Amino acid sequence: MQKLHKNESGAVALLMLASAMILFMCGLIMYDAGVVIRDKIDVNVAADTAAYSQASVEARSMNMIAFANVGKRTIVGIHNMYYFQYPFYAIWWAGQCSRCCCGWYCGCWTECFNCFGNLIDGSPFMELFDWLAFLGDDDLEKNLEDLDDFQDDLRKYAAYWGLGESMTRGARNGANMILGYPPPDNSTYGPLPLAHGPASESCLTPNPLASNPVTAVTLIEWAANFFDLKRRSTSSPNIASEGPAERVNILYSFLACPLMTPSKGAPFFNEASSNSGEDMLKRSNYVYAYRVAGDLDGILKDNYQIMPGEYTPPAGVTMPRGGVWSMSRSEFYFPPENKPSTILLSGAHDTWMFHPGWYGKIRPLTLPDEKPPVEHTTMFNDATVLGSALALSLFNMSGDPEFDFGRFTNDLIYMRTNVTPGMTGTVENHHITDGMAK
Amino acid sequence: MSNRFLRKFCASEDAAVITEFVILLPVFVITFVAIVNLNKLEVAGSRVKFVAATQMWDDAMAIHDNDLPSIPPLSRGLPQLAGANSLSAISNHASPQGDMPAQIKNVGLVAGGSRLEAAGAGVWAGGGTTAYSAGSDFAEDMIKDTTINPLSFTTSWPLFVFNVAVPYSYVGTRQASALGTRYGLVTGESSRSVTAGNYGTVNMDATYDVLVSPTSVGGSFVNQLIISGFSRLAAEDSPCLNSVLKLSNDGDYGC
Repeated sequence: MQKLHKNESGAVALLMLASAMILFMCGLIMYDAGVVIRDKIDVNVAADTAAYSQASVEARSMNMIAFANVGKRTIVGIHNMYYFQYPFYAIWWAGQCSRCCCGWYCGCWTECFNCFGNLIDGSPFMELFDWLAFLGDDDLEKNLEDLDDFQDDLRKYAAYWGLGESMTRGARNGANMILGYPPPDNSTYGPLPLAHGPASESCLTPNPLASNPVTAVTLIEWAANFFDLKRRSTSSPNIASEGPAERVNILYSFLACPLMTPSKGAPFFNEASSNSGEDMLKRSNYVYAYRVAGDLDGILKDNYQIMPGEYTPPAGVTMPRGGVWSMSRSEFYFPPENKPSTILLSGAHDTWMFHPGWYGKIRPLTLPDEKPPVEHTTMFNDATVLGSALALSLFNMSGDPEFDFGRFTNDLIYMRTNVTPGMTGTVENHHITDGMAK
Repeated sequence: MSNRFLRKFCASEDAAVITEFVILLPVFVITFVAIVNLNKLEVAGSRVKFVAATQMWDDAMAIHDNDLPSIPPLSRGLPQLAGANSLSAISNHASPQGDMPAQIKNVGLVAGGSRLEAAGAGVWAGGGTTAYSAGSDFAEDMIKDTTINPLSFTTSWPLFVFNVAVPYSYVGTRQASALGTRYGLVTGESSRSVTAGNYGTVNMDATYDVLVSPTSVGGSFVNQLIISGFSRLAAEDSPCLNSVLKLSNDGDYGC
């Protein structure tokens, strides 16, 4: 026994065996880390592309609504011009006739010519018929209603469109599930944050000019549209482009604005232009991407039995066991440099809804001191309802050979109980993380 | 003699360490080489993903940062064309999942432009009502970007897609495909082969795609003219507005 105790043979073998085991474990750790990292890259890209694509769709919708705003302005201008045109023409014609004087002592031959010339060609009567027909069948107002319907539809519809795009893109890029907040049917944060402005914003009355100086650009825009329309007009003759009325057509439109502008001609304006947490949530989307990654719990822990037990929160939920999570957030954005150069002044609608300058971008999950009006846990829960159902059905997540419902459920609870409550970034009212770090 | 030698040999502790070392060295070396090869594979696997993702974002940002003339119309100009390109891109670069829903979505984009795509997205996002169902011709016309606008043929640069000739000037003048609403998928991809010992040669590849954001639109005078162009086309295309433009003595205001 004493001899055995003193025997040193095999000492190096034991040492090298231990070394080899450590090396082997290093290899396993590297392999496991590689597996997780590759999945993590995929799910990161999935989250970012899903969020960016969603914001792209929404920005695109904002631009289409801005286009429609310009269309409304033009139609309002034409509408008001024609409503006022004939009465003013009649007043002008009557004035010409009243000043007609054909004696040698008169210098008013022009007035006589205008009076009888118009009478002979029947313009006062024919234009009256036109005008009455126009009043009785005002398609311009119908067009304004149609445009308004289109804008309101798209305002609500963009949320579905964007989420559909987000899910497609996320799934294509390696996620098995894309959860998005706000859900499209959330009436506060789902639709695009747009609301009707005053109808007077579609015309050129002094009122909007006084209350909103940026409307000054309307004069330029409207004049460009008006002259373009007139130049393109194919009828000849027409009172829009010929005769004395031409000189005052813009004035007619201007004068008629307070009286004639239909309520449906009101443009849609951005309601969420501030940087409050409330407004930022209305302009942005949270995306939670999940990728099934096999038995992570087994891979990461069971390979190294000598490792101590991992951190286990009181709820008993472990770290992600069946997949990898990633998050991203995007917003649609109107950069100041996209304002038309003709806008020299800033005003109430600085995020210009008469110009297609909106685009999408990735943004930090939470900005320093940002206070979202909805708890992160609530957002995640709301997003899970639609997203998980679609992942299990449309994207066939459960068909993945590595999918395990128990581990998947664990991972959902992990996000709900361990991750999202900490996303406020505060501990005892002190900020612990800022910006992208979150 | 031999027995004595054998006993002595067995009792001898000379060179015991070197013997053990020789026995274990191959194990040690094999483990070490395996780790190196594993590292090569891991780095390559992550690298292809990184390169593909970087290429995709670089492309997307280049489109975002450039102005209208720099956008290749064939790949990003019209929703139809973008849809066709997306179909092709997805067919050629399969992803682990999500191909079929994406193809269904893109077929809608090719067939019906933005309108059908929007309707389709609403359906498979699990809810929502179908917009544009009120029978509003003018509202539909706002996003009907799959028909030819017979006006403003200012160039002779036709694009032939599905036997439909689309003038180059069409890009940017028609509402839905015009400035700020253009549509397009950007793809990034990377692949490489790695030879790593007993693992042999492993082929690795990665493909990602993203929907580009509307291009940044500067406030130039040209861009404002394009907006005016929209208004003009809205008026010219609408039977109602067109009849107003032709205001004359014929009294025809039918839509």
